[in-house]
Amino acid sequence: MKHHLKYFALAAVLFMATSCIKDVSFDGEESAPKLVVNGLQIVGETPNLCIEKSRFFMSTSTDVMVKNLSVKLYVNDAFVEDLIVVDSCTLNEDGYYHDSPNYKFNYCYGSYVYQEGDKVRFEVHSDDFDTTEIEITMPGQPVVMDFDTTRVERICHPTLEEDPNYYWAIDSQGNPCCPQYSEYYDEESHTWIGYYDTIYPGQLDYCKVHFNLQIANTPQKEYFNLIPVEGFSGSHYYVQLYSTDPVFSNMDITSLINNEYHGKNDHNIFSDDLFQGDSYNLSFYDDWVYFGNYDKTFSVNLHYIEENYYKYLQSFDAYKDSDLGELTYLIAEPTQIYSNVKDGIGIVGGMGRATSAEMKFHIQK
Amino acid sequence: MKTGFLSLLLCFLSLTTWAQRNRTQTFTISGYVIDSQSKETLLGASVFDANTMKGSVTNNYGYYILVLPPGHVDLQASYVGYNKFENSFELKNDTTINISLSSEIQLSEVTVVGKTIESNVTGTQMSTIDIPIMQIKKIPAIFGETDVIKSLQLLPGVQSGTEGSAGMYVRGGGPDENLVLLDGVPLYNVNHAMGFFSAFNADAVKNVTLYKGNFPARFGGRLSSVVDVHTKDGDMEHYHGNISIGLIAAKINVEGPIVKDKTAFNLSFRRTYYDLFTAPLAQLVLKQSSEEDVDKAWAGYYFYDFNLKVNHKFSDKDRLFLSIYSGDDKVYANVKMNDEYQSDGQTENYSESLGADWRWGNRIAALRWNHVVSPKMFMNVTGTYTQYRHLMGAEFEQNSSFGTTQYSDKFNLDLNSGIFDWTGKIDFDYKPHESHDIKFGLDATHHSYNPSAAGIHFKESASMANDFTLDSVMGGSKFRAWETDLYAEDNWNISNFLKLNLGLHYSTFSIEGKTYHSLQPRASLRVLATESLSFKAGYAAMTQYVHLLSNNNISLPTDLWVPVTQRIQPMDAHQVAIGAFYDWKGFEFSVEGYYKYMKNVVEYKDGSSFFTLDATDWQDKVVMGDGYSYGIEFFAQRTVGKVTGWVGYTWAHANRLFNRPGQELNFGEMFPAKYDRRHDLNIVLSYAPSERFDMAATFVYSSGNCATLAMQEFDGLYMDGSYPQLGYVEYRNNYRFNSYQRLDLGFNWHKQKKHGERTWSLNIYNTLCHNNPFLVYPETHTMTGYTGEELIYHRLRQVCIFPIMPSLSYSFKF
Repeated sequence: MKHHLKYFALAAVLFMATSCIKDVSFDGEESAPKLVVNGLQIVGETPNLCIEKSRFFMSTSTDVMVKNLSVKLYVNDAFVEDLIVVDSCTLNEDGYYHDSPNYKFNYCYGSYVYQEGDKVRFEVHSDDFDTTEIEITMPGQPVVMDFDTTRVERICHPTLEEDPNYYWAIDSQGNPCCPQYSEYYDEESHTWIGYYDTIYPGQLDYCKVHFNLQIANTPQKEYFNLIPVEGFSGSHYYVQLYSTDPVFSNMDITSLINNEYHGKNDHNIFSDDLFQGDSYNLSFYDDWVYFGNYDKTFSVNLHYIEENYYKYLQSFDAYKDSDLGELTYLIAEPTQIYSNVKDGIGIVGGMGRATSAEMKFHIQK
Repeated sequence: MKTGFLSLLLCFLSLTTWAQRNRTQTFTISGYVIDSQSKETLLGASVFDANTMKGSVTNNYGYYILVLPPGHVDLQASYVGYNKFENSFELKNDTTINISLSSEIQLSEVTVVGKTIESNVTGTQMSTIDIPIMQIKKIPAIFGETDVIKSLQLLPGVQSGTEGSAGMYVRGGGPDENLVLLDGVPLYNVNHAMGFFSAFNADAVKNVTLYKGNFPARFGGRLSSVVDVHTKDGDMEHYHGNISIGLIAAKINVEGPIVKDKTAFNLSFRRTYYDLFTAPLAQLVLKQSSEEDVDKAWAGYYFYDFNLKVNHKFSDKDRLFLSIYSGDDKVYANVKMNDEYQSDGQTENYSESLGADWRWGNRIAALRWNHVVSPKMFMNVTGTYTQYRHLMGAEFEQNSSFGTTQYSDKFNLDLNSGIFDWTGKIDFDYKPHESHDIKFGLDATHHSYNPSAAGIHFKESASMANDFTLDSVMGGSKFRAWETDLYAEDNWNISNFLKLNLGLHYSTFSIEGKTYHSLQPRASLRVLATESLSFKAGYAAMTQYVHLLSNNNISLPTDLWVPVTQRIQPMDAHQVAIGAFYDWKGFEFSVEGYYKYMKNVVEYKDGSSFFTLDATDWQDKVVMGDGYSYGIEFFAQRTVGKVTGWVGYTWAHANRLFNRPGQELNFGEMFPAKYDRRHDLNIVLSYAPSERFDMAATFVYSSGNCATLAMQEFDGLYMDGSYPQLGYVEYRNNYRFNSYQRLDLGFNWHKQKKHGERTWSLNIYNTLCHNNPFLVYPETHTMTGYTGEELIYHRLRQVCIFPIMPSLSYSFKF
């Protein structure tokens, strides 16, 4: 389908046949770099910040180091420590830091262990910028009252995919069947392994399991982050949860473009606007093909996050969603990334300890 | 509601009672002003008594009412492009005089009209411009297609959107804040081809009036402007018409009597024929470029406009009009493929077809009855229907057979949205006294909104398996609403130097169990310093109950008209204006300053795009805030002579503020509106040295549009510990495009032939080939240097749409 859509675009292209694209010089004022401070502070862990300078978008310079940087940590208005500043770091794709001449920024860390309710203030001093302060309050820990299934939908149709290996075949007994391609993650080899299973028409193929997570809430304004936990169960290793709960901004279950994939590294944030002060039953479901009889473990971690971090993640999601490649500037509305760095850019966020909820569930073929 | 309605009624009754009480004996002269040949009514024609210097102008139906004391009357009537009418007599009782004006030979001498009684200097109305259609037809246009809206964009205070767009941004307002009326019926989408052309076929248009502010009380429903377009009624005496062929479209206009002096019609049709060339071209290109066997392919785009008006004259007192308009745009593409494969001695047959079409357009119909109730009162009763709908469909079908196995897939996707209105209204013109000209009326409208609905239909069949079907509709929340309007206004001639227009417009809007009310006062004052100089001031409050969710950069048919709801409030605007107006030897000068405050304007949230297929309620995608705009407009026009035209300059600011809790944009700080352009200069000149040749030139210069560019790049923080590269936007609309400049030239050669007159027209759009920006975006490239190092360079890319565009067209008038 996507392959053929290019034909449809031809009409629009022909209509725009007289357009031209050319380079233009930037006539405006080159804006000065800004101080960038990023770091997620987690209760029970130690301080960590990445600090750099922003770059003018037309500049080819990769020098983002901040000169003579020092960072002071204050907790509950009392000075605690000077963070250790590592002058030369490089962030690689795997998130680790290595010495490298190509792309360096400043990494700062400390030894203080955050507690719930700590009022944290960083003072950032450098030769390149005026002193900047960033303040956050470390969140507490949410209470989960219950985590259980509410219902199981049994689906008998096979899933339909445009996989070239997916076709109706005849088995050795002459029965029509369908080889279903699937994958599982092998812990030892750290790879996804594919295999084929066989489905017969009318057979129980998969089911949709609906869950309910009952969260106790406080009278204060709270922001949450729900993280599914990796789980291994039988021959399947996956975590794929969906939700149409209103707290996730009313995503419709029938939407074809379902951006509620809750993978390993995605965040799922919500606020208590709809249920402040009360307990709340958060509903979600697991939707995948199951084969065989086995036990499955569903686990989630629920965190409180502080308000600045919540606003940052919201703006970040909007920024990602609006990325339409070269069409972005024509069609999508601009997105401004939220920051709590005074006169600067970036986010210093806070997250509380996780409350884990686990449930075992037996799937009968 | 009761309070508002009673206030309005009390106001009206006081006015009429006071007028009656203070009346000395007077008589009424009333009637129609018409073209002597075609019997077409003339709107805005001036009728006055040279003896007492009391006068009036014809209303939107060509009817005038003049109240004078008994005695000698030197009646005169005038209209631009026509010979003056004069008639002297003794007025002893109420008299009906239908005035026929004969057109002047030198028709090329028309300009932006100045009325004698309600003229630039003497009238109370400010921020208003009438443009004769003859003037509009002379203005050079892109592809030679005369365009009403593009002509209005050349006036001070009116800005166009991006290059080529037909959007109108009037005094800092958005494109949805303009009430565009076609024979009194609102048109929701006036754009063809993404806004490059408007929906008005100039051959069908008789008159265009633009109100930028100081709105008469009879208008309501939009904040920033009223574009009042009237089509021709049809020639009651003779058949004639016009055929023209241009670079992209062909047009025909025919009018004439059905029953002479009783019933006439006017019919116009315009259609582009570009798709006649693109369809076979698509076949050729796709066959050449596709990796697969394409059997058939056709793709194209076209738009059309159809106007029909029929009018019947029962008597001097009663006339009936029927107006119909239909216009559509359509983009389509279809591909069909068939193939055959051999495998293991068996034959597999495979076929595939893909079709997509995208269609949007308006339909309107209006039935109108004009009735002269009494010599002092004229009535108009109208029933109208207006529809705008947008349909997008895609269909994919795949069939294959292999041996005894058969397999088929069929997928349908359709998106549709629309708005449908039924309206009944009644309007009165009442002149109880020589100093008072009263208009009042009421209307009721039933709205039906369908913001968006998507249907997905999927069926898969296989000969050895059960069918699978999926049938789903998303979105599709329909809204129904009732809107009512009441108004009354009085144009009060207090004295020779002081004139006041007072009006009140009251409206209600009921939707989802909630009713909104709005009382909108209107007032304007004219102080006549000398016969040639006057000062005016005006105030208008307006309320709007619909929003247009549109992309900031281009006008797309996917732009949605949505009503106010329980969550989304009506928009309000308050505008004050002051100005000075001066006439001198055929020149008219004016300078106007304005300030406008808009409340509850709607914008898409950060990152929103309507180009995603999801069922999110549109109300979740928008936020509400306020708008502030102010500026000064200078306008000078020449109305007589061989060289006519105008020069308009605007200095303006337009800002937006979205700082309500949970509805912040730009972090709650004020930012420039998308079309905040500081300077705007327009020069329009027409020169007609003879009957056989005329030429025109327009020059446009304006400051660049705004855009939002991330001026700084930085590494963000993500939950998995990665640091994606992000752009930092200091504030919305922080970047200005390069300035916009354009010179257009038009030349017309006329020649009288046996059965009519032929005209060759040469138009050159953007004669200087200036690269005017349509879109600007940053781009990053990576390349490898000589020594193997990775080099990153950034550049700013500008998309321009129209270079120099000459076009030739031929028309024949018979």
